[in-house]
Amino acid sequence: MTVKPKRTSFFSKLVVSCTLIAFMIFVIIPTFYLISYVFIRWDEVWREVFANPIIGDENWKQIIKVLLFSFRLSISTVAFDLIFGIPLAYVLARKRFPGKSLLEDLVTLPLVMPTSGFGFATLITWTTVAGLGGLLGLRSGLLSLNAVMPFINVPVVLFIVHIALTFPYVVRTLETKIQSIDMTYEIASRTLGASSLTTFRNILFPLALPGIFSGAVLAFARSLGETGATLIVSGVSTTASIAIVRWTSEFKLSTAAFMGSLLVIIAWTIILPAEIYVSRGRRSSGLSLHLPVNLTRRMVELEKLISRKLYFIKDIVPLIIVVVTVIIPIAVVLNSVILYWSADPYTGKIEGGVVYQLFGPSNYFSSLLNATLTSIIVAIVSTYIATCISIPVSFIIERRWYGRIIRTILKVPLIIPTSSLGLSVLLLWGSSGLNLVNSGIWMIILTHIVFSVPVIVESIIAAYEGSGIQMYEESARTLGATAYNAIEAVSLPLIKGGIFTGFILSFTRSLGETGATFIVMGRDVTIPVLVVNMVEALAIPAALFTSTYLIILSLVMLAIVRIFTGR
Amino acid sequence: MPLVRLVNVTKRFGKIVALDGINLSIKDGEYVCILGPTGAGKTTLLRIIAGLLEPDEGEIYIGEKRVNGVPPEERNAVYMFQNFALFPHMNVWQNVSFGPVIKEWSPQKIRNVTSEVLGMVRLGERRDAYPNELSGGMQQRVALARGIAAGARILLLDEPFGALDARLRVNLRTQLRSLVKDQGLTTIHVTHDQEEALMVADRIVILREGRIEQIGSPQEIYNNPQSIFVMSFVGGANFIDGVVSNMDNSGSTVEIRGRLYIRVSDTTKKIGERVVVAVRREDVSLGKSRRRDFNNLVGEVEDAMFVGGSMEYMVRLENGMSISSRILLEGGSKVFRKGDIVIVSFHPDECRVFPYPERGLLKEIEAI
Amino acid sequence: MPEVKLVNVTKRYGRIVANDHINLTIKDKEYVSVIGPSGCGKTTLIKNIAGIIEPDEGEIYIGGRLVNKVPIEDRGIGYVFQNIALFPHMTVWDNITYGPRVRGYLPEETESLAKEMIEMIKVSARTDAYPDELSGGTQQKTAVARALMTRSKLLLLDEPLGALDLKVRAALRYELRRIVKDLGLTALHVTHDQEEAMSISDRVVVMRKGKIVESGKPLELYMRPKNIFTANFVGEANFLEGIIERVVEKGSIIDLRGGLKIVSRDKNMKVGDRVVVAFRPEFAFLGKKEGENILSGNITGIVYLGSLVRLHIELPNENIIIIKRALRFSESLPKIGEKVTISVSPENVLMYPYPERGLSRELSLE
Repeated sequence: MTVKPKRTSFFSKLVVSCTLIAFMIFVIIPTFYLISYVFIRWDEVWREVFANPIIGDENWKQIIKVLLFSFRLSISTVAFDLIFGIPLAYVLARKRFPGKSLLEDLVTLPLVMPTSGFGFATLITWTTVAGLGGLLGLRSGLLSLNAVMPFINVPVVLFIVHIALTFPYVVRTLETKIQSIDMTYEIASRTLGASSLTTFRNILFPLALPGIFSGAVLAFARSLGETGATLIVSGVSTTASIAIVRWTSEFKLSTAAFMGSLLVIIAWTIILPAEIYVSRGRRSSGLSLHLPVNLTRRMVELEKLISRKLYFIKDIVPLIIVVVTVIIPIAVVLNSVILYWSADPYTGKIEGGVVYQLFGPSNYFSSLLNATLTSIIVAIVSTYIATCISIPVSFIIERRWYGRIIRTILKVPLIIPTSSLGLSVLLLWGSSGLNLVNSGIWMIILTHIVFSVPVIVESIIAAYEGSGIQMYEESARTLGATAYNAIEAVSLPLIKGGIFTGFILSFTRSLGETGATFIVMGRDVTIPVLVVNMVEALAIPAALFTSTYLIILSLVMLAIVRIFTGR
Repeated sequence: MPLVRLVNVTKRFGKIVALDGINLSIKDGEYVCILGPTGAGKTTLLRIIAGLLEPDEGEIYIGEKRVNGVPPEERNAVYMFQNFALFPHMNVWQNVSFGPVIKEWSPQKIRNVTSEVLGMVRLGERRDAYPNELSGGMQQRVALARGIAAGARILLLDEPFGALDARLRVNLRTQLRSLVKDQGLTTIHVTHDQEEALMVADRIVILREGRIEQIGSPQEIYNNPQSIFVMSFVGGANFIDGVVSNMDNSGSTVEIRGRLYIRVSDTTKKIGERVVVAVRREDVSLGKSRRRDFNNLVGEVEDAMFVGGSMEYMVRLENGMSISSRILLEGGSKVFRKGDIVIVSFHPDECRVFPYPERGLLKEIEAI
Repeated sequence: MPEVKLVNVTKRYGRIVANDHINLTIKDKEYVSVIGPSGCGKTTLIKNIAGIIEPDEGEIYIGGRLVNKVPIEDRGIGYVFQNIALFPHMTVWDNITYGPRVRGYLPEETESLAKEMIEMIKVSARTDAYPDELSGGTQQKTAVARALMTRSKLLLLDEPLGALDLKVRAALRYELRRIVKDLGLTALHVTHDQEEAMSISDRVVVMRKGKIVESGKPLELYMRPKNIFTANFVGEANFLEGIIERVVEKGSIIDLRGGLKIVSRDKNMKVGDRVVVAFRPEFAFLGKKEGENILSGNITGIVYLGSLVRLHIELPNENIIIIKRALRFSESLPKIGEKVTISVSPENVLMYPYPERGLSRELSLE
């Protein structure tokens, strides 16, 4: 262990300033630029959206329609997530059983999977003969792409995809929250005569409410901003994030920017009250329900019965959901690649086979290679820069009084739609703005930095707060180490797990990111975007192969994290 | 020249005044205990001396130098946490040599100092072990070694035995003290355990709600408590509420509940003044007959408990009050049982008389 | 009918045997403490009885009923936790009435029971206060009230005073005993603080490394510990090594190194056996007493502890012993370096076989 000599406090002030400047330039400004764009160009925006010479306020009507649809979709997704996510979170947080880490990985999978690849897998599974339809002996897919759920009026396949992608947010957030609640309270409740279900209702649920709330908010925002998979399975419907992509490609920049700004503001108005609620004391965040006595007695007996006989249901149902929404699509894709390898299994045409599409006239294979190269360069460079910014930012958050503010602001890039983010970056750095960068690989990198930093920061902070680092740092200081020495010799080694996890998560996310990349890519294509292109060109087998390729890559990354953190 | 000096140090946290005008001087080589209940401000005081917190008002001097605003690494005062804070990712050798390494001493010097110090705490053979492989007592020795190796002159101990078993505590506190004295270190040891303070301190500082109640050697604090709080906190006592009814050259008479009278040697109060008579449990003896020149009260033994080598009796007097007596079991002394009728005796010289406290007696005694 | 009975209860965690074939009976209305160093298995024991964990082997009976498979909520126990565990989102009143409420008692019943309990335990807090507004001692009293509202006859206390200040601890422990005795309950109290256990228990059980070492009344354990570990764990003792020289009518004569001899009333070993003798610091007196063991040495340390003083004396064979005495009214004590004589009665000299694993390991408190 080498320890560098003492540095002066001037040095640390320098580091802090540089970090904050880089942070502003690479993360904050791009995130919020969209709003200032709308302000600066208000006349233009007004004209295009509300007082368009050709179509009047048609664009505005479009915006509203799209927003309403998106809200319907997202709210119903979150409701579903909560109903099945709460029991699963409880089981993961409190119980130990063989295969638990496998289950945790399954739940986390959608977080790191490439959204377009995953969307494609879901598409195949439900709407084509290669999926469940074929398994059941039908001639076509199980569902139509545009089949709609009753009451909510939302396409089924779209709903399924959103559930899969938002479920982890609810489960993981709640799991962490429950784990942080001292189990002694539940034991105390049981020694006082309450069954485990009664205990859950009276003790755990009220105390975990902030976690439920947090998870729901994150899931909602994620659903609202979901682009990659939605591009593939939305059929004739349009969500807010897809609208941004479409309008940008139609050069209706002002409309797109306006929509994007609205989404940022909405995200902000949801996050802020949620944060305030969550940070309040335990007292006001819990509800103690006082029910009439007869009802209580009957309920308690019922709960006792359920606790004893039917408890396993709460374990099984969420498990089924995870399997259906995540495992099956992946399995289907893998299976299909094999099926379609040399030729279309139904028509026998070689042109419908994977090999033909990759190596034949369309030569998707070389596109794939190029895209791989692009993706990897983007991932490595953006994640590296993001990590360099994240480490000092994390320390600033932990040690300075204004750190809390920074942390709250950082939640925004995490949840706003990636397409909105992409547009913001495009407008800021591109020809309509500073004109410093062209669309293409560098702009992709800049975009990826924006959403990587929050992920890495959260990961580092989790490691920081989990290991009681402050005490070690203080010890080191009184032993003669300067603040810088203490960080280097003590804090960094203790959080390196967090840094590594954050790095891998961002790397994988970057590999699979579609929405923002789509907007800023210019002519450079990443793998997930390639999938979208293939689908639009109806080169299904090629898309199959590419999706599989992407999914396997993500799984490998996740495995690396597991092994390294040794959990 | 005192090694550590605090002048009018005040620290606030929002509306709470954690420390209020603290004045304190600690001599070089002294072992000082800061004693007080939870929330008294003891840890805040320690952290301010260490430089981990800055006071809102007042000055701190280490040696001749004013150290307000001077960062911890330049104060030469090592802070030891209750759970030792050994760096978990370093083994014993690396932990102990941390200070010298940071100071960039030559490898030779680092090796020598570290070996020597490890030998001093008798942990030379465990130099490769990691903190989580060591017992509590061993971890503490490593933490101590680490502080000594770093060349600290001042040792700041924050409830150093808090994380350890009661019985272990007794053993380790004497070991710690001799080690520290051998090295000539100045030690400031924060604790809420008055027995611990009595056993190891050269001087005790009693802290309560951010203010110093009394400073003195263990014997002074014990024999000469300046307030009811100090007497109750260190050693404990019986506190009897009464009114001075008579006074002469040799003492006063205090009337207590049930028209009983206690004779005390104090002559500083006025007739009619409401007072509290305090007498230590160890000064109250039980017997079958009255003792000459002593106060004698009749009562019935309510409870007889065996407490750490002594018998502790609760006796209910005829006026309804309970008085407590603690007698060291010295083999051959008579043991009383519940229900025995006894005479409770204590000498007027052993009674301290305090004015009745404004906030009421219970608040001062800090019972639960 | 014994309230609690453990038969061969065993619990393992990996390779560590936390409870090793424990056999224990606690009689109805007894106040029993289980003491021992950290890691001895006392917490595992009480958790087994409560049902928080399940034993790998053995049976547990509460009130004559086998409870191995019975869930926590049906065992009819009251439990007091070390970290108090008052529900943070409920007021004092809601906490205390939780048990009855959750079982659907009628509100009038619950209310009168709670008021009675609050008065009995002397919970001095406002009923609408939240736990974080209360002092440690008050919080724990509230928790005790809460546990007793279930009307269970068995109270399990897991280091109930561990989180509290020393002064509060000393006061609250008597309260615990009073409440248990007034209500006629059976109590099992786990703690690492032997003084706490000794002062309030009817019986004390000493545990070490998963096994029960010894159990008995506090005074018995103090005066005549059967096991050398108990002698060291319960109170302090001076330990001197020696070899039995002669066994006579009155006891055994032990040869300590350096020409010193000491007599013990114990006669359970043979001439030539290696032994360890022990006596408590407060049973040694300054001065010569007829018929007792006489030892001389130099004073190497004097520590004042309020009303007591500890004298460290170095014997000719270089052993250091400690004697403890009350500070008599205006007496003068010898100074450091002075030579003194002390007496110890053979009644108070305990004798044990020299431990196989060596003396320091056997006496280790960790």
